[in-house]
Amino acid sequence: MNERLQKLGTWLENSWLVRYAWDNPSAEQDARSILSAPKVGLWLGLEVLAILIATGSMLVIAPAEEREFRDLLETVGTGGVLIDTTFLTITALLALIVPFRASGLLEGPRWRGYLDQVITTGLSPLRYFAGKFAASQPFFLAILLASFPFVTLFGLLGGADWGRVFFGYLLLYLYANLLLAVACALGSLMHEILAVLLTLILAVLGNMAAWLPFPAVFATYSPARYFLLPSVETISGSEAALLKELYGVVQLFGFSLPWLGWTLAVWALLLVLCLLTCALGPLHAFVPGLNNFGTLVLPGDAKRFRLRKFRPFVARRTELAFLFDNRPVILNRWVLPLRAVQILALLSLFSVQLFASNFTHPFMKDIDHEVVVGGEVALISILAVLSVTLLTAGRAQALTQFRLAGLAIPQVVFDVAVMVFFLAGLSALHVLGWGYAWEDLSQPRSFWRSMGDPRDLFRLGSLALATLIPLTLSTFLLMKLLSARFLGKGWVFLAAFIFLMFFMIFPLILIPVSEALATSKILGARDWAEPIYFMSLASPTSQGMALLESPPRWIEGQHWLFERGFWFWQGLLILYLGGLCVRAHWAVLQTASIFSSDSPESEARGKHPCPRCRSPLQIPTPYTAWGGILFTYLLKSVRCLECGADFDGPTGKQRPQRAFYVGLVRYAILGGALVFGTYLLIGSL
Amino acid sequence: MRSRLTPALLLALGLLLSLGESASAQGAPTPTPTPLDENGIVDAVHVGFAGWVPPDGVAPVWLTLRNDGATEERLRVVARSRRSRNERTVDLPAGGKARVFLALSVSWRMSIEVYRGEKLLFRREVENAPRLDIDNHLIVIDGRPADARKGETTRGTRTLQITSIEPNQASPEAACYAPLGGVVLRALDPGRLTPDQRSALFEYVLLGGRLYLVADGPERLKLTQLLKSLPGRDRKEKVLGRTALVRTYGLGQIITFGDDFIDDMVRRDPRGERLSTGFSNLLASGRERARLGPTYERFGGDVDHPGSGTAGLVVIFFGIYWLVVGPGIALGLRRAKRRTLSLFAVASILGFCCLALVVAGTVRTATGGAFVREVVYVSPEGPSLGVADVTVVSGGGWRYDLQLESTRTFSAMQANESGRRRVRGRWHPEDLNPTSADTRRGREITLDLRPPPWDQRSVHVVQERTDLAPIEAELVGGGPRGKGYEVRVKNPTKASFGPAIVVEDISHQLGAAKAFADLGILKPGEEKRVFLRPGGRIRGANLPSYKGKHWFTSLEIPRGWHGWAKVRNQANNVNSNRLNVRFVVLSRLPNSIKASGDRLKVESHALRIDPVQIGQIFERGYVGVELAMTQAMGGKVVTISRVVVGSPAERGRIQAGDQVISIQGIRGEIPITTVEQFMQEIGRHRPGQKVTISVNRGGVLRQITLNLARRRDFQGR
Repeated sequence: MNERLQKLGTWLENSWLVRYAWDNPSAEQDARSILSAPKVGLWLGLEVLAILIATGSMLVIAPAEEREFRDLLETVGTGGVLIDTTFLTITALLALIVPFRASGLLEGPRWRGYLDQVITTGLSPLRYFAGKFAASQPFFLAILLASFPFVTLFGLLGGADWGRVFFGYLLLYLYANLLLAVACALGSLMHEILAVLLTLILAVLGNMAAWLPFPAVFATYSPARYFLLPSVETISGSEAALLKELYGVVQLFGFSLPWLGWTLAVWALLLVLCLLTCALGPLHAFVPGLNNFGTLVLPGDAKRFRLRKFRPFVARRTELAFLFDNRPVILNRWVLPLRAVQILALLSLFSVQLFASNFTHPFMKDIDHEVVVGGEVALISILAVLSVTLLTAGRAQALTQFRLAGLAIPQVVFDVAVMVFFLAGLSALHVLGWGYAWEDLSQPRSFWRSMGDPRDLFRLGSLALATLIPLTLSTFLLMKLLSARFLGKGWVFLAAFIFLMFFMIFPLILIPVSEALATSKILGARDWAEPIYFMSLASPTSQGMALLESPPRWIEGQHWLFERGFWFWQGLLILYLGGLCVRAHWAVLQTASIFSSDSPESEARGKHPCPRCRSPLQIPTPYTAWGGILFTYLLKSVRCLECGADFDGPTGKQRPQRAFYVGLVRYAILGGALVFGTYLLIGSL
Repeated sequence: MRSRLTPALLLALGLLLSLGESASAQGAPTPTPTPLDENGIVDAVHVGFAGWVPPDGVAPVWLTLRNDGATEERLRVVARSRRSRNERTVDLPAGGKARVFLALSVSWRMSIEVYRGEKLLFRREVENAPRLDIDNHLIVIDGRPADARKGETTRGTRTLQITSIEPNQASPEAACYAPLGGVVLRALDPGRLTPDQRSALFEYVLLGGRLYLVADGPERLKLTQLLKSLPGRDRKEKVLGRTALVRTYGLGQIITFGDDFIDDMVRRDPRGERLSTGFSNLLASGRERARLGPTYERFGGDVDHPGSGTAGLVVIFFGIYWLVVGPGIALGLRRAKRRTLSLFAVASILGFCCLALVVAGTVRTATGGAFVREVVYVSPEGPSLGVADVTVVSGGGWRYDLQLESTRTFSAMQANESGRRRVRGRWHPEDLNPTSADTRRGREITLDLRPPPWDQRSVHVVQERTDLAPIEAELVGGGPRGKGYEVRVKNPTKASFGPAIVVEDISHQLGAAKAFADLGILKPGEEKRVFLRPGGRIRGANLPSYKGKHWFTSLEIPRGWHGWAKVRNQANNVNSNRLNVRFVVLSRLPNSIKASGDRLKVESHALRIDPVQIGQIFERGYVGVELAMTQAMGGKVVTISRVVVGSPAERGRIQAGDQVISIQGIRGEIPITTVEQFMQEIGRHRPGQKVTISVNRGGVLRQITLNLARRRDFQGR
């Protein structure tokens, strides 16, 4: 017997998985810190005390004379209620403990000064994280095991459903691992203190969603919902039916799924996404061709003088970049599509959950339909902003290319494809949600009577979505350009100004101007009323007004452009920004090839060195705010590859005065073309 | 274990007694009371017994509603206290009246509200209502005429206080009587009580309460009619020094006195004092004898609540556990190796798991014993409808010996979580065979009693509206080769009923029902016959996929009287616009079912619905115009927008565009400023009555007298 046990032990110790997970510094460090008597005693003592207080309060404070509570005791049994209370306490405890347990993964070695040793051993990041996971398992098991005496006694005294108890423990164990995975994944993307806080906030939000009457399809981020279900079953009163529906089975666009199955599927997806993040690392990992083994990781870091004050942050970025450079070589090829797929999967999960929640039958029945429609528009906006933020977070990578199936695919093209795919998915969900909830939405309500036909509102919702899609695309391209950093800081203000123009200034200024022109008695002024109004349609606000109230009375033309002008302008903008993106992409490719060659100086040596940093390396400036692409090219402006300064190539000097005058001319030409082009276009209709 | 007669018999008796009710309901019309609210909806509100509420129990709440408007009103009546909230939806036809009953758990502050949609029409707060002193407070349902009572409601002596209530304020819910030591019916014609009110009194006695019948002379004969319909025999006894007939019924008693001595009791002389003290003692001995039905107190206070000793043991156990795994590990093993630490932690946790078994056993032993949740009394005559449930809640033992007492032979079937599968044997009157059952603490053993060779089936009718008069349903005979049976459902009322379905349900779970049929909407007076074959399906009536708008998922209504109590409670409860009614029918022959219509009718009364007083509904007069508000003369005026062809309006030459100024009718000349006012004024007149309408046509004032017609003559025009 002993021999067999020893053999089993030896086999376990030598097995690949155990060695992979345990034979690494993070597991060793963690095991040393957590599996010490004071800490084990502290955590277990805290847990036992928390369960004692929770269950004791449940028995003492719970209103014994309330019918719901008595029904609950009768249906589930006292034991069942107390076991559920125990599980809820453990859920809360895990949500508090696990994020803190996950901290110190990278920061600990950094502060203790042995991260460089970890990096130089060539340890892959995934294995490094696996150590953390392995060392946490005994801790999780101890936490769950410590509640056994409670569950045993409660079950024996008050009766229990042992099948539920088993699934309860399974859920809690998986939940602990999910929290750990989320904390580790966030910790590899941002500073760990922030990651811990964020995980904590997310856990609290997940638990709130489980406790509050959110639709079951969304309330999947905590096992608390599973333990609360029996209490909901016994609720009586006017809202009982609604609550039972909300807390009941998952309603996913007409499909009824069991909560447990749906939640496990969601958790599995989240676990995979988190593990992918742990394996891939942050977005600013090294990209082939852009490595520079110093404190500066990205082109443009040199320009950020202020950041030097926060040197530790820059240093952390560098160290993380080194660590994640240790990932398997095969991942380098797949990292960008994997990341895009990862973001897409996360966004899709949220989208499906939010749409299904918004179009859940109880909501449809009991909430005014305006709220549903407003909610849909709001959540589409949130998802659009989220997708733009996540997909444009890439900086250097965002403008590189990768090879897939023998093709060199520029990352920007791939990202645009992902974005378009995501927006198409949103549109599909929009149609699906409306189709699913059509019967409920068609019920006669006051709002519907004012709207006439229910189809009108669907049309309106679709138009709102159609407004948002080009806006999202143009914003996405703009963000891409901003993240590319070859544009000046002034572009940030310009972008902000453009948005302000879009939403506020166009409708506030141009529409009254158009009206004033239409009613003025000045000769020829009336001809400008329609072009000016058409220009105002570049704003989604004006377009929205046009859709709701049709074009104003002074617009006599019947052309579709007066009702759909927004898409015309957005088309122009997307074309313009797309062109800029292509130029930027070209410039980055050029830079990458220069840095990856054996002698960069021979390829990129300019006529004169940079007037600011004296570096000889320079490329033609792709774009400037004053000269755009064309004038910059014609005037032979060049950009320093070291400090990013723009200067005149032939003379080697910075010439701001010339830039100013050229800018004046350029903007005059552009403005004139815009105004007269519009006049000609509208006048010819 | 005691057994008891189900109250279903009482319901049947109630029906028999209710035969005289309709005659009394159509008596001379009482003067219309002044409404309590400005909308003219609420006529009267009665909370408790003439304002007195039980100290800790359920108080009856009565509302009298009326609708003087021109259209049917859907009203929502809500009664709430800190401890409960009951809601009823009432559809009041134009000109109709209804009395609504709600049972409300007593608390310091209670409120009664009436809503139209979401709009609050009426609200009455009852704060700190006077509590009945149960030992010394006697509730008398007084049937004497008002002048004989001299308007007295509460009077009393030093030891006894007497509160008289009108028969129509008697509670139709036994729970309201439960805390009382006794209830007196004084000189009351039982026909003045509704079947529900009578059932509640019988239920109260059945559960252990005492009912005193007090009357003198001819009144006594009427009152003792109640006893004729009840099983058992009277025995003569001396009660309070007087000869009385005592009949044991269920767990309680009905005591009939030979004379009306209530007035003697309040007399301030030694005799009166002696009498009132004696009665007060009787009340005290009868106090809370009536145990509430499971509908109200499903969960006894002593079940699943361990005593302080038990709780102390559990707390000490976990306290030691905390000391061991918390400070014990943290401090005691701080220098230990990791392996020792892990072994100790696991061993101590598992050790405490084993200890938990011991503690649980100790607690079980300490609190062992069966808690009988529902005691079902079976009378010597046997359960008349063959349905009785006994539910035993285990208090801690693993195994119980069950014993049933009866004077007849029963077969019993034991039900547990995995279904009804084991027949546990028979109980003979002479041979009280004990039988054993395995169980666990807190779990139930349900015993279904049925007198062989009766076969028992049940029929569900699911209906949407609660405010309708009883629906008649009966099984009219077996089908071909005895394979099924036919159900006849008739809507005898003047309003539509439904959508409804008929379900033959053997397993008492609607989802498991096999035979069912869709009735659709039953028009007034319409009768439908449905053929049901047990275990078979009706084409086109697929129950699981029944997606009807008014479908209501069935509750599992326990068989027996408490099931009915649950249905009644549901009628009083919040979702009461959907009712789930089950009719239990019996057959002596297998595969064919025969049942009397009486039985079904009685059950339908258990809905506790006070039907709209049909006699009060009168048809309103009809003018034949459509109206609109238009701008004229510096304000808005009521203008005729259309005149119905052939209507009184056309005959009186009213034209579209005429502006209505006033109406002169039974209330004199009333100026008209709104369309609603016009409708209301016309609605006060009956067909055949004359009204004069003043209209302004092109600046000329015209007075047109119309002879009002009947609306139904112009349906669809």
